[in-house]
Amino acid sequence: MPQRRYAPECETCGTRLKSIFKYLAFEDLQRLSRLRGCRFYRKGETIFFEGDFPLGIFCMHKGKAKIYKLGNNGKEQIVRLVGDGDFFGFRSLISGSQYKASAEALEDSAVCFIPKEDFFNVLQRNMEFSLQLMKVLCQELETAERYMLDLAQKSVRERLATVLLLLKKKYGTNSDKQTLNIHLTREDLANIVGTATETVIRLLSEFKEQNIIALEGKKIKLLDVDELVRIGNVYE
Amino acid sequence: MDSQLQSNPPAPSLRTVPLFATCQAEDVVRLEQRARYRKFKAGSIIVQEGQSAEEIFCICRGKVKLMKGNFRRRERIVAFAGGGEIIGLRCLLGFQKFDKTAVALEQTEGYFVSRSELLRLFRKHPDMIIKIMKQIINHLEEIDDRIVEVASKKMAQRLAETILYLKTTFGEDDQGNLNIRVGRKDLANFIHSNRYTVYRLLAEFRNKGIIEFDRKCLKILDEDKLREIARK
Repeated sequence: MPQRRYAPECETCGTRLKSIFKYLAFEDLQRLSRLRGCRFYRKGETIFFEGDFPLGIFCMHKGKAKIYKLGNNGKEQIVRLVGDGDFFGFRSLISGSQYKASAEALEDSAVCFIPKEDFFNVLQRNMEFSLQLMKVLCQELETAERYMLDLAQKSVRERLATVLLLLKKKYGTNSDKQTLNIHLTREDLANIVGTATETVIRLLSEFKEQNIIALEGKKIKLLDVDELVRIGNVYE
Repeated sequence: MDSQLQSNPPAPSLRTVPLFATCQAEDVVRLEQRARYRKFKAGSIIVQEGQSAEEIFCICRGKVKLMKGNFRRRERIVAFAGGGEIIGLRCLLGFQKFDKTAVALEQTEGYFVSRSELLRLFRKHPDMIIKIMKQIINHLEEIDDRIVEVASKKMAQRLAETILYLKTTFGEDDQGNLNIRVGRKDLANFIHSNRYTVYRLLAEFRNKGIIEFDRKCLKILDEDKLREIARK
């Protein structure tokens, strides 16, 4: 878990290699390192709110966050998860609009912040960087599209299995190779799957009875990944 | 290749595609010379899911439906596209394969532009990248909205919203009919339902005097009411 007041340098930041900032030239990086700020968020703290105007982009140094929107009925729907090296809050920055979603830390996180002008400077100077950024955007779009179709066409049971696999892919597992490296409340899980909390709890215990997963508090252990793939109809 | 499909002179300009609208004339001319101009009949496949995306297709005229693979033997219509829109842009830029199949809904014509030509243009006009990024972001926002919508809405709402979406995307002709012909099956695939439900809902809407339909023609009579249903 990151400590307070711990501000990494961009040049030596290990997380950078996972992010698109690895395509930056060294000078750009040095500049960026001077200009950016790093802030510590406690679990449950909001990083930005839907409707705010963006002042820059965020890059997750260490930690996890959820990006969510509120539906018409006031129910929260998680649209994206953020892990180490992901940057977020840049869509509204580029399109020049208000934030269309809110971001909240899922665990204690260290998040770097790059002011608007500096980010655009880099973007305009470095064609390779902007093409890479576009690539990330395109991939995000594909993920979002698949997510939407899953929501629309799969049953809740299938979706839960899909989401568990997605969490494994996104955040990885602990050293035992089975326990998911993320602790979500049942409510958050329900808001990703797009169903009621009670349903998620019921289905989780069903999976548990069938020995597909094991539960220990908020820890989820995936025992039978193949079975999850089969239940979730995950074909990729 | 299929040179007989290549059209005779009155080919529309690439300028009708908003992305190229601000380019200098010489760039557009060069692009038009190097691009392949093609015409497709209704029902023919323009790009196929799974092919590697080395070209984009810029629609000059016509309408296209975009579908995604077979899932339980159902075609899933992901979106519709019309004149001025570009197909496969983000697959090409993301160095992916085409993730959708594009099928012409009516006679459709446009240009295939290759990656190298596109990148050459970007090098010359870096601001185009930002422009495209904005488009992709808009699209992303739309999808995020639909995620929330699909997770929380009922069929009637989705159908109402879809009809409104079709209207804003394609407009209406002189008789007030929607300027696109979609079958029940297309509609059903779009709102992720079956065509019986769609038929029932359409009939319900008609009985309430909200819409009028005949075969594939759809006419909105009471748009406010439709909006109300979509918002509920």
